[in-house]
Amino acid sequence: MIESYRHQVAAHCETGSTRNLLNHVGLPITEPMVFGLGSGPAFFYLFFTRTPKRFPFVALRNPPGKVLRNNFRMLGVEGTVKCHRTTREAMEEANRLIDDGIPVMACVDMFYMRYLPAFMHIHAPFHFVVLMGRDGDTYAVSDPYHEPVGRLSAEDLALAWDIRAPFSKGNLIAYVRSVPNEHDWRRIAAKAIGRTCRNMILPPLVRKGFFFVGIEGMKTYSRRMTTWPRDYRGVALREGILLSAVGFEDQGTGGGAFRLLYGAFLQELAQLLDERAFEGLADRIIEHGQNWRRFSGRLIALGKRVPMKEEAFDAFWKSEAASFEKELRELSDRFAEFAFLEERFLIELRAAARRL
Amino acid sequence: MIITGTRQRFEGGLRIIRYERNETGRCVPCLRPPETEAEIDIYYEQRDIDFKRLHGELCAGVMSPVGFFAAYFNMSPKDIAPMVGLSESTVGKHMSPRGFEKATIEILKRYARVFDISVADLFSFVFLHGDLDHEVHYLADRLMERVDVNRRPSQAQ
Repeated sequence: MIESYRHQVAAHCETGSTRNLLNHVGLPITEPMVFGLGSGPAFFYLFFTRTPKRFPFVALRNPPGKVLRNNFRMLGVEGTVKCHRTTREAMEEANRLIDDGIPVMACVDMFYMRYLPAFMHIHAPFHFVVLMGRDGDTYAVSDPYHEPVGRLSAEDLALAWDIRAPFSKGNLIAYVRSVPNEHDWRRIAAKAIGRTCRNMILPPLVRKGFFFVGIEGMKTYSRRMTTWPRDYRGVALREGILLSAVGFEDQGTGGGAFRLLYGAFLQELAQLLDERAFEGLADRIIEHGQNWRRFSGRLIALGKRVPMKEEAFDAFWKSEAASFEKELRELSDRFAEFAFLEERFLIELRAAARRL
Repeated sequence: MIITGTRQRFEGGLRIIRYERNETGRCVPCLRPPETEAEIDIYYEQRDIDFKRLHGELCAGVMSPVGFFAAYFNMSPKDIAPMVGLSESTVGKHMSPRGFEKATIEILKRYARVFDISVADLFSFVFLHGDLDHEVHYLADRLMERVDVNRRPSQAQ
């Protein structure tokens, strides 16, 4: 076990693991700061992929690994982010580093993390943990979703690494050797915010083609919400709606689809740089995050109305279709408002960042 | 596969970080149960219903054991194919009882890894009735398994 490494839980696995690694080498950075500097906020309505319940996949943050890489680049970290061709190579390097007292971040499939509760055993091959020690064939795992330090056998770790599924990162390991003592926070923040705004607000010329990305993606999502009862029935409809809401709130977002985490970042930035403009902007995005939370609550209530048994669906739909669709239309309008609000917010945020 | 008489329940105790405003207006991390905690147990209940339905289909010969586990874990041939190194159409074939018969043991081992079961689990379903504890040990690279079944300590007394 690497004694100097401090295991801390976090809202999100990638930001939490990155923070833990950076804290370990002496940079006292917080999770919101890692998320903000990593240009975390995003929205992708991936209509061409399917979640387990056949609803299209919605990503609320930039692609896995991006926050880590952005932070390494922005903060001038001396370290490595590397994908290995084989699990054996990755494991050998990880063992060497752990034995040298260097904690290793790994991107693994959550399905094999046996210390997590059963409902979390899903094939999500983009889960970030830190390997903070080993005892023979058992690894000590610092998982931001698990309060005590987890234990994982070498066999399970190999399975969790060696995944060729979509979005998997191919035996990724990352580690930090050192970070500079001084940082030009104004320049770093301006750059990170600029990138976030670019990811969310696409140039007018490409918006049509990338209707599933950023603000355009949010608008598309709001439009598609009203078609859910047409496209899905029974348990698929119920679970799809419930999973969407759970995804917004409890799947590592910190609540409010990462918007509260971003608000915390802007608050911290305002204090660090003594910039009052950011306080006001932070208040707005936090308020927006809280509204998103209320929206998720309504979505859950709606999903729960759908019966759990397939055979009960037709009778339910016969009697409840009109009120169900009305509620869904209202929620869809609410989500379209979110897109509009975020667009205006990001335009102002970009202007504020340019003044830094 | 070992099936106990009682359905799995979420016993709570899970806490996650959520960001919330404190009294000074700062947005701070709070460690507390998930907002959707009530939905977690519903998830287990739904899984139990799904299991019974799928097991019925498996016994009726509608699907193969591979099809059963894929449906149970909500995975499509598209999800499974890259993980077992086969084409989507081949995985699709293995999901039907007739196609399943053509799969080799080597391929079944790959499926076993994806579903986190043993090859033996593809061929047998053991129902445990009563208050029994069990422990599964995979053997020979998941080809076989050893199951230790014991009475729960409170019952044994």
